[in-house]
Amino acid sequence: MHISRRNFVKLLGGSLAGFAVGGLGEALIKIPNAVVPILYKGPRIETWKITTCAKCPGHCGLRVRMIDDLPVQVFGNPLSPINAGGICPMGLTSIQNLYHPDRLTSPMRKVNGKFQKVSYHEAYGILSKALQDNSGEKTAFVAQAESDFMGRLIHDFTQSLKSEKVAIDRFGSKTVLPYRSAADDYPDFIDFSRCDLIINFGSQLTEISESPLFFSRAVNDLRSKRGSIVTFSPKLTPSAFKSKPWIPVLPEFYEDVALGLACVILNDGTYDKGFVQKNFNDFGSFRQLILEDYSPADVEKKTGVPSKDIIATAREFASATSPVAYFDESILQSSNGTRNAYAVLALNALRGFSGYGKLQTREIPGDDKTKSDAASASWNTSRLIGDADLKVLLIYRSNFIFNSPNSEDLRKAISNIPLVVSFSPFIDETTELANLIIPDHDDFEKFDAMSSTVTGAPVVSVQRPVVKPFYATTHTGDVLISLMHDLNLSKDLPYGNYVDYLRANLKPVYKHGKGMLMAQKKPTGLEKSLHEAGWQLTSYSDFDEFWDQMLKYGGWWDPFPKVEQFSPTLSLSASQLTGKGSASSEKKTHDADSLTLNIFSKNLDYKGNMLRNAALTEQFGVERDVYYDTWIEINPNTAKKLSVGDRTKVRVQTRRGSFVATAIHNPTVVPSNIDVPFGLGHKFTEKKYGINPIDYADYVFDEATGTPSLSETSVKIE
Amino acid sequence: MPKYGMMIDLNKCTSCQACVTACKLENNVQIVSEDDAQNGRAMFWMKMLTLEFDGDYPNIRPKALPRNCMQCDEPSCIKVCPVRATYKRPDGIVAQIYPQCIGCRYCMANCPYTVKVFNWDRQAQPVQMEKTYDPDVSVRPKGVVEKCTFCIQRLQKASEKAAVEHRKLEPGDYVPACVEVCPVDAITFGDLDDPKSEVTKASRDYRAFGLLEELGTVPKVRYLNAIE
Repeated sequence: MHISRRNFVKLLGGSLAGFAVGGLGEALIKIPNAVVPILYKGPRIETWKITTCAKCPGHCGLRVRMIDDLPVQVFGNPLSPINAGGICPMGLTSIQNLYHPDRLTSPMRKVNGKFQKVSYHEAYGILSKALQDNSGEKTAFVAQAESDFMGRLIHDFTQSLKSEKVAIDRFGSKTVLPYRSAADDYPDFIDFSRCDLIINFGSQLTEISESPLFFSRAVNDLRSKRGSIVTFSPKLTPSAFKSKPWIPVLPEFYEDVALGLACVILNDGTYDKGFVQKNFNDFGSFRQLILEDYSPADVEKKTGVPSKDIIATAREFASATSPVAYFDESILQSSNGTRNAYAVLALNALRGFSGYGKLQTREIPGDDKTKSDAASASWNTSRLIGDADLKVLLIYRSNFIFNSPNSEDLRKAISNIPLVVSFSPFIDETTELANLIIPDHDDFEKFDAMSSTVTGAPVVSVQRPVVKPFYATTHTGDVLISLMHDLNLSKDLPYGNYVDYLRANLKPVYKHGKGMLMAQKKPTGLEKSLHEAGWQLTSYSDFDEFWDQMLKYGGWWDPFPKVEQFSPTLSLSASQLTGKGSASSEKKTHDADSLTLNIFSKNLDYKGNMLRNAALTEQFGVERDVYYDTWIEINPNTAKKLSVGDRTKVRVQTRRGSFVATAIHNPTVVPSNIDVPFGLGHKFTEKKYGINPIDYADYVFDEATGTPSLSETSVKIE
Repeated sequence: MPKYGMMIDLNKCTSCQACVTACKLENNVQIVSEDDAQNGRAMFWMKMLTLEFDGDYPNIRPKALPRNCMQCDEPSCIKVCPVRATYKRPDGIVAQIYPQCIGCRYCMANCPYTVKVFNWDRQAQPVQMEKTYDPDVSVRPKGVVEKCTFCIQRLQKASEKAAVEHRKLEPGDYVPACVEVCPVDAITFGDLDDPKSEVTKASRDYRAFGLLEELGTVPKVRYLNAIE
């Protein structure tokens, strides 16, 4: 059936155009001025446009259904090698962000504690002057950039300001993981064509990972080939459903478990002797340390993981053809997060990293180009606290106040910074602390690009605007490039705006000459043979045509890349592995009768940015039949001891306060844990749903990266 | 005339809930108010259910499955509708005529799968919310029962397109939104009367089962059990 345009426009009323329209409830959508004439005159023609999702590190291809050039629905792009037509709830509902009534429609400046609209020129002028006066370490940049191209621009920008204070949160990036401080290289992908066992340390592979949709398919394929997954995690998440066995353990013990597995392999002598001799510096000391301190019995005593499980898993790992001990950024969510990662790297080294793969040639500009990542890895948002030198703080789409247990300290620190500039398209907990907001476009209104190697092939996905910007928003990339020009920050800057920057960075892909656009499925048979013989699968006469085709089809990839075994050289000291000699964690000891608060994330909102979206907020607790409110999950045996009934309201007490939530009995919950979901509890909106559990968590961080621990808080139920 | 059916492979399903979201958006299912949701009036045509748990902790697995209307071949809902607002089409789809529904909710009470939902209130959002609605689907008024229709509007569009192109409807021309978006192809859809169709092949798998089959409702949405 058709939308009744007449009724629609009648109800809309010309004078209301451009405003969030209420009257029947809370406005969940705003009709921009630009849309109203199309509603009147549109012939109701359906078209489709291809773009890329930037809601998580997955970079899934999207097909956007347009009616009269206005996006109405989003589906997955079947020709994207990453998602092959699939799409997740965040991607499906991304269109609601475009029409969201809370979107910022113009730059804002805080005057007397209240935001007022200002022109772009005024806002830009304030920022430009502040940066002119405060270069060097007086400026810091905090970003959540799912695009590695945007991430690199932010790096280049802060470096040209001569500041090392940059923190870029990019979940899928290997550069945020401590590979560089332990090895001389990092893997590009899990080689699923060979891999027959994954020992997974806490990653929610199919929900929140480098590429959830690609991993969903890959994990199913692995299982159908009789491969197996063993998951160590504090919660039986949907990702852990796919593993056998799931072994419950808190993240702070991943390190011990990994080294316990290593101990069994070393004892059995089943490790890759050739690899460790050649690639593991000071292997003898490592071997001695592990054999002395990490016997399965010792590990069981410390972690509670049965030694029979450790021995069985280690032997499975040793006998597998190409096993992988896998971790991602979630392994850092513990007071010893970085040491956890080192331990898993050491475990992988015992089998020569045989399940991982590396691209032989890298024509696409990738993460490895950002050498500055390693230098800046030492700076993170916690360093804002007590930094009296800081005069300008730039924030790009990161809501770190919502995600950090030390949010109150961060608030105070930010309030002492003379100029805080946010590029967020929405007001959130972090943006409301800014003095100046220069809102970025919505993802459907902007150009960007993302590169990925997670599929085992180099993929460059392109995001293009499917509609012209509705409001007076500005691409943050354009702002940064303008600043670099105006402040003479970078000599010979070869690009005038962000699109030029993207084009310049994608020239190597064009010159590469190989690969294909996302215009057809992976070639087989004759086409594959022709490609291997040197045929170019897609033809374009010049770079402009290549760029146009990239935009039309959503990206480029090389279906037949040259890959090799990942073979890094490891240098791990005893202090890196076991914490000996390093500063002790500030973790507080648990009371005998207390439980552990385990904060878990769902695939509907992994960074605290998506639950402004009505459909996702309603769906957040649907599988537990809890709506618009926080719940806790408790093991029925624990609940019985505490006399907590199923679906009763309880008060959850931590050192930082207490909150009321519905207790739900769930026999999969670790008996010593209270599980609580992360995502609800935003405070910047009028309607407040549930609580933010991180507000009640202890200030426990991974010291090296500043990643907050989500499962080391003592809790009591009242 | 085809007989449409669906098989959901629980071995492939990752409980990502994309089908839940896609169904909600494709069919313009109301996002109800906070109060209504907390009073058990949330409206989902497709919903993730956790039925029971297999095994003992820690070797325990929840039995979770996406559940939509079972599109029964012997639907108990149509037998009690006093105004014939719910009926079975020749292609097997159990459909609902919204203007005919008087909101007595007998069909809801008689559905053993509890898949039907009732519009207790007007849309809590302003009418302008329509911009993010699927323009092919009407929004149901207050006082009307609704449920999964196998995205019947997609069948209508696919049939019209096939007719314009002077051809018959091919397998794959028409799939519901949940089938289209599933990232792991866990949902198979097609003609159960076509012995060569994927859905028919899947329905013959030793893992196939239906919910509450003993009631004789003959559900056309069936499942493939997970392999342990």
